[in-house]
Amino acid sequence: MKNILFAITILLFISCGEDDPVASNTDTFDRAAMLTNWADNIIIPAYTDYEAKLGALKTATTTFTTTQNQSNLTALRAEYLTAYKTWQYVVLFSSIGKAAELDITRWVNVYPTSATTIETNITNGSTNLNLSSTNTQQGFPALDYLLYGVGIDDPAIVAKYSTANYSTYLIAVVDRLIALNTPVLNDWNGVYRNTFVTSSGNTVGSSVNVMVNDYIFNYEKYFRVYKLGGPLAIFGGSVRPEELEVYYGKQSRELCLTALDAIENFFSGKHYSSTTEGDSFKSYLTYLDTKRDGQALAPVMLAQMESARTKINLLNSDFATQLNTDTAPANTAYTEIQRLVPMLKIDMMDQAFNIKLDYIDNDGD
Amino acid sequence: MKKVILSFLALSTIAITSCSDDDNVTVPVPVATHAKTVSDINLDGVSAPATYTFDRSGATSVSYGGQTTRIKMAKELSSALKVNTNTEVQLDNMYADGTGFDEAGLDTSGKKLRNKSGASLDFFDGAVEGVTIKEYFDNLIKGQVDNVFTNWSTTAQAGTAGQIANGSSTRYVNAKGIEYNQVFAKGLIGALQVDQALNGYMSKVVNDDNTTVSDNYTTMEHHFDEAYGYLMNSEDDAFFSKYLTKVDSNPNFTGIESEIGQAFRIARQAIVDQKYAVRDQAIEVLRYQVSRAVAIRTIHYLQAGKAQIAPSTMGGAFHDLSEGMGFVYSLRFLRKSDITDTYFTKAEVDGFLADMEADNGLWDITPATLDGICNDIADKFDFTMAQAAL
Repeated sequence: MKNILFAITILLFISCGEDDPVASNTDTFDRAAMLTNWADNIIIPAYTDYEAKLGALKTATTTFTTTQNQSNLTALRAEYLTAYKTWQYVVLFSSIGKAAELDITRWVNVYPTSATTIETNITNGSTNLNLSSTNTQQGFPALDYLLYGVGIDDPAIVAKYSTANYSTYLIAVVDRLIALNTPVLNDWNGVYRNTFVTSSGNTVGSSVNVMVNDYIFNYEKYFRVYKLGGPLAIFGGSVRPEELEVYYGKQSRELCLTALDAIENFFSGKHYSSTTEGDSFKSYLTYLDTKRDGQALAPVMLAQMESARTKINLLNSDFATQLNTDTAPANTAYTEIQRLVPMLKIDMMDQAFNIKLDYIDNDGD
Repeated sequence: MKKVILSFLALSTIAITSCSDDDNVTVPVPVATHAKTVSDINLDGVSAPATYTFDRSGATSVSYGGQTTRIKMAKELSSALKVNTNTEVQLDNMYADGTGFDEAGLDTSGKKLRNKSGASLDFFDGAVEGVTIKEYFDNLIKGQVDNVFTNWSTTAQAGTAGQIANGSSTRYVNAKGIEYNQVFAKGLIGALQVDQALNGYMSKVVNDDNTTVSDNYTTMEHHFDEAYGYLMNSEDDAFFSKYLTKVDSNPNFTGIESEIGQAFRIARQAIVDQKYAVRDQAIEVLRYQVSRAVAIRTIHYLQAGKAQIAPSTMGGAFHDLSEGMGFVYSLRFLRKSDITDTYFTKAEVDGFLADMEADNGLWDITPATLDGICNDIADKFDFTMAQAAL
């Protein structure tokens, strides 16, 4: 009977509980300084660099489509990979500001790409890449197919681009990447930077809260699930190497490690392309003196990222080869990646920062 | 003991009511005359098994293959509504004639979806409204083919059908932002599953023969199993059963799935034991809890849609609101447990739908309109809009 009364009491608490307990107001960490570091030393430099890398990609695309030969293809692939690696940094901020409004992630890096539809589009000769359903026919995964997958070997690939339709489609995909990024960069260089930096409170929708949520969402979904866990069939089904990032170009480990660099650098507040550190999750946790099992949390988390890196480095540079031969090392790497998740969500976000998860519940249907 | 529990239930009702603003109103102590939860049932010695397993002479006496077939058909048809190369004739055949399915055995089953949509004994069989319901689903198919399939590669805007982004997904909507396929699928939860179970089979069993055994079951057993087969089917990962699990994951309604499962087992065991008062109390619980579950999920989707009304997330809003519209349509079939009546009249449900479809429909729907509908729904039950919204 007591249990029933207890249960009812709990129920009442839940059902009436609109005023969630607020954190004790001893946290006077300078969030504005952290936001300033993020905006001026990390985010805007990353978007600026990404814009420059896309410019170089466009130049190489023009050169290759004008003169289709092996050396121009090689040069184009190099620019493509450089831009793609820069995206691994930019994706961390892709759910805030203009990038969120344009929902750039759904256009830039959704894989697996739809190779058959791309071929149909090329045959048809014109495609409206603004159309929602074309999001799996563009972005870097489409470039992966266009630069590595349209022929059985490099001469066959080069030969494809003597057909105007292939060149036209390649150029359209590159132009679309630029068209998506330019307004985002302009917004950061314009009014958005101050909007972001001055929103320093701890409320739903304030910059720190949104950034923390997006950082963890990125880690869980774009990094953990898409780059490894999903294709590895952690969440069910059989192993699906065809769902890996860069399935055709086979640089999956390189991109995965780049993404981990981006995640780690942001955690430590490292200025973009520099070793200088500013205010960040790390310094915030240090300020709060957050512990996990008696040890300072920030170094424990960094050590966990290093453990993940070590295990990822043991994988074949092409994850597809790894998944097709031996999944055990991939499972080990996944486990190390996964071990950071509770530290991010519980220790850091919930307990230390007192920030609530804001992901929209998605039915999946 | 029982009285004490009941008084606590009464207490909890009062306490929940007291969360609302009007604290000064004197709340009458409710008199529980009808079973709402399993604990209200006077079991009279009926001991239900832990799973829905009933045998006679060493073989199962449970049979609901027809319901499994129809759920599979509904699933395939829901998917087929999203393939823009399908014709209206093909889709109509799947709905009305039970043919054109990929899965082996469905075409030859003789089962159909249309003749069981809005076809319950208590309310719609032979009634004008029963015809209207079937035509409603016909028109959803026609609208999908005539308006949405024809604009498959057009970007949707207010007044123009087409496609719109929703995260990594693409949604295909009519000129009012409505996904016909979602309304169709979620509408069948009410018109097919709930109506057949609560208003059809659960009424039939009252007068059924429970002594003659044929195919190892009595008619009463079989009819009750058919109700079970519509609502608790393990093949159902897209309709009522799926959403019951989701309602159960809302902390305000934890345990509702177990309540419904238990009530089904108690009623079925009571039929075996020929303890009809127990059967009828368990059916009261089922009608009450199943109706609540649908109403809760309706509010959830309308509120989830409301939260996404913004230029960059309209695709998400449309998706949830379209699911919500299908659930709103399903409200018509919810059944009160104490009297032979539905919770919502046709006029009420039509009014909700008209509010959602007014002018440019979901393109310019307001949070106030959605809250109004949600509060009207919650007012029929013992929970608030906020509790159901999670």
